[in-house]
Amino acid sequence: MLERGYEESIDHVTRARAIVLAVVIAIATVIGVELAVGAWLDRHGTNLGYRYIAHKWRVLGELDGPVDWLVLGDSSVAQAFDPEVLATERGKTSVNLGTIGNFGATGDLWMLEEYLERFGAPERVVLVHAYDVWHRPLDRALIGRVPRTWATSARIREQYEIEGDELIELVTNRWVRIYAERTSIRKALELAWWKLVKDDDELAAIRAADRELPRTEPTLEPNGFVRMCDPIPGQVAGDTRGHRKFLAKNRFRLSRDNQDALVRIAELAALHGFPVDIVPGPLYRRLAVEDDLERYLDAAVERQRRLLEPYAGVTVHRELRAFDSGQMQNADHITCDAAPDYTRWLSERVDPG
Amino acid sequence: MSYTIDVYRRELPACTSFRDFALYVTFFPQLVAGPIERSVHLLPQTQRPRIMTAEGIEAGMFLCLWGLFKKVVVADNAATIANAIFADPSAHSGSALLLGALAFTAQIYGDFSGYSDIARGLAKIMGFELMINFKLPYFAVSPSDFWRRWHVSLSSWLRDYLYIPLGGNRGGRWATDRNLMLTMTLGGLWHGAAWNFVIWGVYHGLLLILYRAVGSLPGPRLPTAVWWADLLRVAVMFPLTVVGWIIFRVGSLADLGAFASGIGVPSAADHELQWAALGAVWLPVLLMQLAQLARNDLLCALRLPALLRGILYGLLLAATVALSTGESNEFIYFQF
Repeated sequence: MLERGYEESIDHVTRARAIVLAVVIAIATVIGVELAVGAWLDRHGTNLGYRYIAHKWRVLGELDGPVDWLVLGDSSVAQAFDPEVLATERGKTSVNLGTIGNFGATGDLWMLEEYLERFGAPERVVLVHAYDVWHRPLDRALIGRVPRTWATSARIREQYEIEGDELIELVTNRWVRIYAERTSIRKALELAWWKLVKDDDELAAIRAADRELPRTEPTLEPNGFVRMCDPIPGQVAGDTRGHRKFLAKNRFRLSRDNQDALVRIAELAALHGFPVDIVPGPLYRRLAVEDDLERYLDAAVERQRRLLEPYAGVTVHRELRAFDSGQMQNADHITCDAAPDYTRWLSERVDPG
Repeated sequence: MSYTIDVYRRELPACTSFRDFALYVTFFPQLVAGPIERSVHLLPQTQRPRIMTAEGIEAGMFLCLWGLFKKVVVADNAATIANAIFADPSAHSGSALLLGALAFTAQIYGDFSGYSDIARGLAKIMGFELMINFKLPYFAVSPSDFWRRWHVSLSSWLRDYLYIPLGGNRGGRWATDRNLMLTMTLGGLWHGAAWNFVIWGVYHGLLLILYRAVGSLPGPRLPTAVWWADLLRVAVMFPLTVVGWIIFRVGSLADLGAFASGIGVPSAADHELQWAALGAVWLPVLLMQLAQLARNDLLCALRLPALLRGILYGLLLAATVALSTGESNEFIYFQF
């Protein structure tokens, strides 16, 4: 049976129309796979930052009415501010739209603009970022992950001078996720495999050993709060070492993108008449008391206050809330157990009354 | 070389058109890594008008897609497993060495047959026919069958331009064995001036001789054209092929020693993820090959209805994009 020679046969008649049909179906299949994989990545991808972005924009899009407080910022606040706590203790409605640090204040601005367009001015806008976010330029490629049609428009490309490799990255991030997120696809498949064959302890060890896998799985709540409950003291220590190196080497500077976005947010606040509070994200207690950190934070607050001085209603807060390593996942991300504490502190800080 | 010999043997008239000859010599799809085309096959195609047909275009597109899938998904992913283990065989357990050997077996097939398919597909789209270079080689039932299926353009070249001129099988048993060994050793050396290629050639020469010797012994034989007997033959031949690939791939004789001493040693199961990954990338190839085997047609996918063909093409393309390693891995045979 196997001894026969294998040949190719194209003796059957193929009509050009059938080829065109096959090609069209092939293209449709690729598009279908792209959409399906994208939806799967938004929920199961190992790039948590991308999942946060997808989730927060979905939360904003599905918001069916105005809220009292609009909380914007990075992933440090995504895990730290729980709208449930604010509602219970202060009777205020809110939504947590913190995404990731590499969006900086630009992401905050875009979300605020969409909110204002749909609901008008909220009672208060709170911007919470880790102290080391302000110097970062906007990661242009990330714009492709904003699930809005304007994100890849000519206006955005011109405004942020996106061209060449950045443009390719932006477009693939938006439209060819099966390529742009192939690492996340691979890791998510690996994780799915491990979940099948390993028990919880073994899985935890695998997650701990692989930097490309999230240590724990977040619960993304409909109000935007990212519930991450397992403390990772070892990661806090390692991350703190990185922060110390950063602080020893760098003096504060405000990136052009963040500066422009902050000014625009302040203009909108003045125009619509709502207060804006800029607050530091939570920080590891031992890092928070270090001189280098104090100096950096002083410079950050001074620079932001000077920039936003002309605009009424914008308050830049200097104080920060520190936590022990047993309440944290790294040097600036707290666990769900500590989130009520931070939420309480934040609400009292921005609205003592 | 093929052209010179064929003209000398009067199998082909000398080409008088520089343009046709230049096209034959520089025909880009197969220029770098084959298939090694005979002048009697390719040169006449440059001299007559090409006819591009719908069937040829679709077959070419399919071959390009399938070849790309085998290279990017199968070979490159298998390479990450094989490279890690072959980098230091002495540091790995028996099961890991087996994994490395199987990964390289998948890698070299995916890499080289993938390239050949892409080359043939491009040629087909343009109205040229290049020879089939791989005919399900891992389903070979014997060493001679393997060489009728693996790198057919090289093995047939060696047969026609080396083995037969040496006397082939016309001089009795010892002369035949000598010719086989010489041909396979030189075939090994064709891959490069390294000891492992020589040993690999000698190994395959020995396999051919051994199978011939066993085949000539009196006594009961396995029936032919019976599925279970063929399966048994494949089950014997495939591990022998894998052993050959270990010899082919190792970086030194010390590494070969590490494989020889370690691969059979039972060890605790490890590299679970790599085993699963290798199985996952090989599964589509296996399914396709079973279909090709059942239909005795390497292009059997083209017989599917247009709807299913389209879905197949789309899935192949999407998988190639999504499951690429993101690293640039040159084709193995570019170095030979």
